[in-house]
Amino acid sequence: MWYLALAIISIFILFPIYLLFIVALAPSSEIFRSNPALIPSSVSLSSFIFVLHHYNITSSLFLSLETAFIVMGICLILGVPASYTISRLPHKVAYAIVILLFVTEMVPEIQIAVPIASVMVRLGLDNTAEGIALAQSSIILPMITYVMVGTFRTIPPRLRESARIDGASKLKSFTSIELPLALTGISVAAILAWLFSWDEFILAQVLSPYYKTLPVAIYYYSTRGQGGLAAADAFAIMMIIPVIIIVMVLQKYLRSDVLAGALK
Amino acid sequence: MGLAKTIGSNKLEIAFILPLLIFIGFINIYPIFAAIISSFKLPSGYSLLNYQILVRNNNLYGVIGNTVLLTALALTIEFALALATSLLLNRAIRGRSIFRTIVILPYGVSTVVSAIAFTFIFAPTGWYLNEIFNVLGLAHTQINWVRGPLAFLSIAIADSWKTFPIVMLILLAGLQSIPESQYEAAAVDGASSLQQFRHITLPGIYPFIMIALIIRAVQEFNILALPLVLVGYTPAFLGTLSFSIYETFVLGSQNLSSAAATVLLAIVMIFIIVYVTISNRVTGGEE
Repeated sequence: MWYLALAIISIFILFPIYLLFIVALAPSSEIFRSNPALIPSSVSLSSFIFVLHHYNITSSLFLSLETAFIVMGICLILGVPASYTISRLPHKVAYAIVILLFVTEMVPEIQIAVPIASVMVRLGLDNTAEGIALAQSSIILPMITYVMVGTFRTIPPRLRESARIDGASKLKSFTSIELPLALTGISVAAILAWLFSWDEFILAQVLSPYYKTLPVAIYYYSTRGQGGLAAADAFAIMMIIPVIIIVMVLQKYLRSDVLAGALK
Repeated sequence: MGLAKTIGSNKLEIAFILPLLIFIGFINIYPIFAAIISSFKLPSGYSLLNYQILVRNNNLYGVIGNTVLLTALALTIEFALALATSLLLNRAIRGRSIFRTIVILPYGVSTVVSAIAFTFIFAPTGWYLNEIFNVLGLAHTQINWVRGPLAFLSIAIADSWKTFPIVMLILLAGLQSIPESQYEAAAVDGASSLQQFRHITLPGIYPFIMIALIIRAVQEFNILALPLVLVGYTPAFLGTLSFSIYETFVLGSQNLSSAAATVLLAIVMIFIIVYVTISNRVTGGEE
């Protein structure tokens, strides 16, 4: 009984992923006929080869990579010190800031997309990785900060108090005691920041319609590209395989308290 | 303590947190207010005309109704899936770690890609769902799963696939927070497993359910990327609030788009206030 439920849910989850693979690996003759057979009789890399020849992969790949690393950098530079401070503030002040973070994280991307885009145009940052990254940080930074506040809260305050009694400055106790202890949590948060940027679609689409990140390019190719859905699918698979590997490796760190903050 | 003294003794804290607050102000708070102001703007001055146009030409109330319908559908499906899965994972069954890995997989598939996968299932001509119906002899016509009312169901299912693992993990944390001794005591008193579920499990995970559902409701209200790929941006597309914002923006009416966005923001704010009130009550204002 339990195993039946388990099997049904597993099939529900795995079936779409399986479809992504069999459509991408189907010989091109089969795709144009109808849907490829559920159990493929032959496998072909023709869709992948088509993508490599006809799609502008490298520019999208580099744009996505650059954007994701800038977002990660912004989150680390601004988020680590701020989240540390929030975790040590008196509860009432900390609570007010956490609510502010939560509200900004929950604001619909599409609501701020247009005003941000017009700012980026004025700054000359439209259609650049910097512009997309700044815009994406508006959602991702509050979320990642929130996650890291949780990490710093797990470090007992007495460690810092005893360091202070021993004469260490606040800055010194932060860099030599608390930062090293929080390193795992910070790394997970940084990878999450990277992941969310890599996946982000709306802001990237509004801010940089010509110079496309990977999700925007996949959307474009799936609706208007040559090679149709099968090629867009092959392209998509190249994009998700590294991420699926990251998620599986990170699995044990993706606890609910992390995800509750990083739900978006 | 005077303000100057407070600042003086907390220089490091201020230097640590101020850059974040300035950044959020610039990149987040400012655009929110810019959009709100732009929603009232006309070439001649300020008025409510943009909102009146939304109600008259863009069927604003119908669009809000559609958004509520989609949210309710998606939340029902993903909550049922998440609850079942979390109950399964909370038992000491064999293969639990493999199952946990499988369940977390959708988290790594980006939204646009998951939409493509579901296109293969729901696409009207010759794809899998219609094929399965034909094989079973249930329907011989090609059902269009991504037009009309059925589109809501298709989107709700596709979205649940991507998001229920997160809801599940939150519920699982709730289940694991219930002490085993409560169940043991109930079993001694002769409570059936259904009674145990009703009187121990459900109250125990109630706050977790509320938190997960409200956060997901907010996101469901904003949903755009998934329907954009799955249903497409065609004349007969799905009328939800975020779609209206996108549509009016693409058609070049920024002020109208801002008005729709402000309506969305107002609704989201209600959810946020409810969320903050509930999480306040649950944790006594600690977080």
